[in-house]
Amino acid sequence: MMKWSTLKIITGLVATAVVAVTAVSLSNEVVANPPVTGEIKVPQEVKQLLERACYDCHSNETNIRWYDKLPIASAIVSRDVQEGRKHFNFSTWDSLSANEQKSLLWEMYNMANAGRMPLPAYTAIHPQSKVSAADLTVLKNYLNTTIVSAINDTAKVQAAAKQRMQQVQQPQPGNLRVYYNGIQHMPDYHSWQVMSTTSRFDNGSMRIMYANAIAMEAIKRKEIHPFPDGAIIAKLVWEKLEDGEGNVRPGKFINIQYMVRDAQQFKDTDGWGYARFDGPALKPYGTATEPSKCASCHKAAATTGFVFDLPTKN
Amino acid sequence: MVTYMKAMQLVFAVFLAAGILSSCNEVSGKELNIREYAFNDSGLQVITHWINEKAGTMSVLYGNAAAMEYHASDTGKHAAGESYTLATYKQQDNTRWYGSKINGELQQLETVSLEPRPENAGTGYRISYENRRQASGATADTTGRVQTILDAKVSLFPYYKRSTPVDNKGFALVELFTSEGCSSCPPADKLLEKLQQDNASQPVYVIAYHVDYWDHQGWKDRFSDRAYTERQRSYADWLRVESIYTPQAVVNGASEYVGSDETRIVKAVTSEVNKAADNTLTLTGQQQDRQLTVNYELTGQTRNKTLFLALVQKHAATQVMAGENEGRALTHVQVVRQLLPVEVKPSGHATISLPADYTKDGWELIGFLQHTGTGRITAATRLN
Ligand code: HEC
Ligand code: HEC
Repeated sequence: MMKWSTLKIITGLVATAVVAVTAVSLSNEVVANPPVTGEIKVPQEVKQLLERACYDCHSNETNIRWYDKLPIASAIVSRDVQEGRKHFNFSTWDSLSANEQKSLLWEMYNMANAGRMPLPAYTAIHPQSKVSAADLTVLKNYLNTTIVSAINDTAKVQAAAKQRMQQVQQPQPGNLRVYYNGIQHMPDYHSWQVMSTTSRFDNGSMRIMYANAIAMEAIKRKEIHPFPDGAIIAKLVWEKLEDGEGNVRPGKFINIQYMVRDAQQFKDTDGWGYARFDGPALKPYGTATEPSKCASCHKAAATTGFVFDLPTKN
Repeated sequence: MVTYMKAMQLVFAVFLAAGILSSCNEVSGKELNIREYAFNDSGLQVITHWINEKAGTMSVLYGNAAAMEYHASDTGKHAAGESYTLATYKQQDNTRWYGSKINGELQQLETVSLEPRPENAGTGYRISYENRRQASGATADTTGRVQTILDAKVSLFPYYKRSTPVDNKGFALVELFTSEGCSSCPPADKLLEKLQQDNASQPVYVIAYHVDYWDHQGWKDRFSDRAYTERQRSYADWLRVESIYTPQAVVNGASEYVGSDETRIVKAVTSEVNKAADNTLTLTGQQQDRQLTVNYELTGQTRNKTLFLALVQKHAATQVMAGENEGRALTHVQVVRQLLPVEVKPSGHATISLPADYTKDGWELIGFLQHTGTGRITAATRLN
């Protein structure tokens, strides 16, 4: 009797202690869930996929499991959720412009396809959130319904011609444009080598990428992990116009974008300084936080030095 | 208890995964498969590019400096010296971004060069069409391809620099002020001849003005003219030289030297040839009896600039009977026999009456554009 009860008491004490310790350590509030104000509207199967794989960090409907409340884990979860929501939030999706929404959806596919999202550390403990090949196909099929083909619209053709005429008639302003991080527009890009040209069907634009001598040399030598300081890549973007004879040609000039390598100066954005100037007047785009947004998306190309358009064989 | 242990393992797994993640992101596990560098476009600039979805190709059209001038000036008239290269690539998926297609393997390079047509200068051009790597099944319609290339419209590039093309189109015009009545002049005449010979393949032009202020020292130079002395006085103002002297050489209206100072003149000529020119000047002409009609075309900024046409006698010899060079047989090169200022427009023409001793082979016409405020010469060429 005595023996039995002693054992029972000891067991009971241990159990109580475990429960107590666990209860004390489990954070009650890892992350708060603010109200959902304007949720993303996509087909049901796409929505289900996003909910399962992404909502924990990119929405106000974070589903905290008990093990997410453990010490250390809770700190990581909380940080990831805060950070994930800051980048984009499915619950306040309608606060984004149509263009931002579209661009993000393509970015989601490419991030997931590159194995960068959901965060691999997270899928390790939440295997149900893994994105499978079938999931990628679902997402891709949805994106394919949003493809932008070249336009053949007289008004646009005229607008492009007008822009070209203005360019020819007015000598270009001599003063150089400067971006928030100090990067200047560099008219010398004209004399650099063309690194590549691309045709974008996600947003209906066509581009030419130029690389300066340092960047070109690094690419040829395959010394891009990381790219050497002083490497510069410029990208020029035009709207696509169908010329009626089966060719797609540049219409209106949209912008010029730069990536300037300086590991120290731009260490907050993976060693690359990003800058973008819009329209023929080269108006600096966005706000001072823009370069970090550029860097976020370019993480999808982390395996090639954060550069997408290398002249590689497929 | 068991559950708690499992949870601890999971927490550990998070760190492990995070550690692996941060180390393998920076360095690629995959070997980089860089395409062989197929086409070096140094010295050329992009005019435009296009995509042919049906053929699955992407093309980039490049031009040399003259081609860029054509596209910048918007005159609609192609000219000799323009050269175009069209690089056509296969289009492939951009493996790093679904939503993007990128140029792949180079399929063909086509080059179209515009050359003057000798017998009918000014209007037509001979077109040479080079197709280094014809893709199988590609069109053999040469005329059509040439048209496609020549008709392409330039894309809008921000801050396209119109006045300083990448191709080196520098030149040097050496103007010598000399006289048969000056004893230190013959070496300068010799140097002028040497400069011309040494730079036969370069855009280096030499001309000699015989000034008239030695004419009252015993010997009258038959090639001299008051107008040439006036021109030298203008240089004294432009270049801030106290007084005029012979022999004096002026290079591109920007610097002056003792006409026999070979080292410094050669240095100035080389440096000018390596600078990009601000303007381009093209001359074509037609002779009818004793009349030469010269058509000119200019590109670039022409405000406050005057076009000069110099009618030049290539060689002359004089037996000097008096003055400082008494008893010497002098030979001259590139003697200016007429200097005609022409008011500039983007294009126009001027008529010159040819002297009695003019011969087609023994004379030539050199034109140059000069800034009236500074004296700088911003373009020079000869009528071929
Ligand atoms: C464990 C939390 C977590 C999950 C789950 C998660 N993400 Fe993220 N996501 C983040 C964090 C943190 C960032 C910002 C840091 C970074 O870019 O590495 C981010 C950034 C992104 C970005 C870059 C946004 C920008 O600003 O450019 C995209 C796109 C993205 N995530 C897509 C997804 C998709 C798609 C899923 C689901 C398939 C997903 N994420 C699931 C945490 C998460
Ligand atoms: C939504 C994702 C995304 C964002 C945001 C983004 N980029 Fe990119 N960027 C790409 C992709 C994809 C490519 C390659 C495909 C293409 O350009 O057609 C690219 C290419 C480039 C290139 C050419 C070099 C390369 O990587 O191929 C430059 C330069 C560049 N981006 C600059 C910027 C700048 C500056 C910003 C911010 C103002 C920015 N990018 C924001 C996706 C993005």
